[in-house]
Amino acid sequence: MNCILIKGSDVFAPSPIGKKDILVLGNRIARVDDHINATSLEAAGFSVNRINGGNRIAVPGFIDQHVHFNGAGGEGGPVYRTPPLQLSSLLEAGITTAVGLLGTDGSARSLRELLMKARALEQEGITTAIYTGSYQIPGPVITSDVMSDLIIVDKVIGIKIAYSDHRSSHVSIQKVQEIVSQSRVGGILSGKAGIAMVHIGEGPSRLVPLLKVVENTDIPIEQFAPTHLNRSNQVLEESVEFGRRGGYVDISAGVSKRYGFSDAVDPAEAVSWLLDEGIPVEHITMSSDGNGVMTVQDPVTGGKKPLLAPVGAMLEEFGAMIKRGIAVEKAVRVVSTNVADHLLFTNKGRIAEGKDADILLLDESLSIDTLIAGGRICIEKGQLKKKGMFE
Amino acid sequence: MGLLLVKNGFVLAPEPLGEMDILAAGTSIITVERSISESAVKALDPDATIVDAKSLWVAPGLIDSHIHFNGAGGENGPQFRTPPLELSSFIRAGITTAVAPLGTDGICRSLRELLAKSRALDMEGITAYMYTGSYSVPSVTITESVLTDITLIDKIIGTKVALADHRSSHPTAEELRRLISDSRTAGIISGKAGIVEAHMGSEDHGLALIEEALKGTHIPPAQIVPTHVNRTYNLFEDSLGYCSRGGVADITASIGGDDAVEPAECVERILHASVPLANFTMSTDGNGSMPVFDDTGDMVGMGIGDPGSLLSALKNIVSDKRISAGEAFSLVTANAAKRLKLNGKGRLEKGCDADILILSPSDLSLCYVIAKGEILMEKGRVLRFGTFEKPAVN
Repeated sequence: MNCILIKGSDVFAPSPIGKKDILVLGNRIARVDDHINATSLEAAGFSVNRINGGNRIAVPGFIDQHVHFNGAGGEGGPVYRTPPLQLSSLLEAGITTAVGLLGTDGSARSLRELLMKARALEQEGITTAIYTGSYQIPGPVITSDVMSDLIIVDKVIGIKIAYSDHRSSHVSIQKVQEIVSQSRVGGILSGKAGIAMVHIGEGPSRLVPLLKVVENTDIPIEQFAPTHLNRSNQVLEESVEFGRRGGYVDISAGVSKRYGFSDAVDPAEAVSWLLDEGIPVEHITMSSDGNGVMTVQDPVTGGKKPLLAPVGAMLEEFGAMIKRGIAVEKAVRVVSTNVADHLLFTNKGRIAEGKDADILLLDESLSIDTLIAGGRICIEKGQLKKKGMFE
Repeated sequence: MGLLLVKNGFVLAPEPLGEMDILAAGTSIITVERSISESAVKALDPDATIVDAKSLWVAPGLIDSHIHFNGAGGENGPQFRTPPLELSSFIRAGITTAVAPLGTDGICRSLRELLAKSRALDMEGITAYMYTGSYSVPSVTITESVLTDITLIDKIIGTKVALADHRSSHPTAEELRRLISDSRTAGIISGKAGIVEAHMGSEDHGLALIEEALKGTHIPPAQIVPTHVNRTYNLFEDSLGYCSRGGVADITASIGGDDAVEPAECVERILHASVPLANFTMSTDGNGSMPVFDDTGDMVGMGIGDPGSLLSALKNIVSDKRISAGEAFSLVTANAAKRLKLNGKGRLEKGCDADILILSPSDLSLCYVIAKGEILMEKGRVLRFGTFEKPAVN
């Protein structure tokens, strides 16, 4: 049984609560206090693993609600299918909770494969969940339908769909309503969020269909998690309206100019922009779209070129947000707390007594010094201590 | 997150460790030591709960590998369908881990209902799992097969089937071999036990059918667990032979009838036949309807399996003194956890789940029931009830 005592780090819970000691017992945070005495711990029978948190900030582990951990892509043919992610790439990105999903390919890609990968990553040390479906409506399912997937399969917390994209199914709004209703009711019956993670493409309708569903029905706007909203200026502008009406807006960390997405608004900049537009920080989230790939035409050679969203972009953009002057508390909310709230991960996203022991210690350059996932030290003094089974 | 210190109890881990202290945090046991300082624990957590178990036994929570917690029965018509069990019936019986099968009725009884009930019991405070299938072959399933049910659904750890019973499908050895193979393979893929829980009826040669199914394969005999083997003297004698050849079997604590072998007598016979006790587990068949049929196959009476039978059978076995208390508890803790591959269950040691019973050595009456670190019974009083249970009666 683990007993870890982090001494004197500057804790963002996400709110800044100052220099504190954090005690981890087993897979939970047992206490956060000004001074926790290691000697009394040892007297009580614990063997204590002490970590010096001085000159470090402690933040909750990142929650990546959109990461293709079992691979994605395939546009341009099978050679463009990305391979599954290994544990270390998620850890090095500061991600302690990952939600996997399918993308364009809901035919050859398998939700059952995705489910087993999610279980494997969980056994290797992080927390995982998945969405049923893919871009298509209706998409693939594990059991017989979307609602059954949510109710029967523990790991399924919602549905993935795509809209306003040339690779989507171009179904009517009525069909979107129906499939989102299934996810919502499946969530209600299983005690999960049941959210619809909506890939928003470059298509002219953009977020309008989601707003129409909200107007037509009693489905709350929070049922949706529209993502890739920084893919262009136009999409980002429209997402302001969505956010103003109380919706969550999700920015893709891996979709930025530096990774070849030339139309994209850089993720940290997009967050600043949304905040400036008056969108409440609680409704802004960021996910990586990690391991997702878009195949484009190379302007130089004329041939195909894959643009890969790296999972590590989460950590880079966290740093970029702070460098832009976004308060640490707000940045933590965007990559962790808000996501936990939206996905109903009640034990995640906060450094507080009773919460899961998913903790990141970052040094002055915002690089990872220590990562604890589920009460286990995975990165220590910048060194990776855990790897996937076949790494 | 509160700390919980159980002091001065005689710990059965299940093997007897003597007087020890147990410290739990959250859902797990942190450490089991000769002496853990109360003041140090209080210094760490002023709200820590200290339980004095002086002159009491401290044992792992019981594992019931066969309890119809969402109801069973229905023989002789729908009025004989037993209702679902509420949380407090587990607490009063000292059961902190329960595994449910369907029974005779795989048609109106639903595996999906059973799954939802498992999840509900888990949320209410104990640990629950289930088997896919029912009595019949081919098995009823949630997805398309036994293979996919065990592989895809977290809560499903094996397959139920009935053999040598007038209500069974009377499968062939070949059909049974296929079922065991599928259950095993899915277990291997998903990292679960994948066992076949085989309800044994009183027709002759039931265990011979299992041996025929396993013959010539490399499937380990423990992949199939015949249960209710103490239904008749003949079947129990057969099961001793079967277990002496490497098989495993499960005794039903609640079994009744003139021809049934009481659990304490089962132990006596196991010892007499020099079969390893580790090959046996015991479960309740709790909440199962217990129809009594006459010679012509007509139902003439109805009983119901009592979840409390596990503890009362244990009491009889312990008071017989043929085996130690630790060996007796093993039947319903460590042995069961090993058979069902429930890591972290069935033992009181560092890192295991904090599923702890504190009971009186004289009559095994329960003082405390702790499941996943939460106190569900305190000084004999039930503290936690199911969501729709009325806590008036206690």
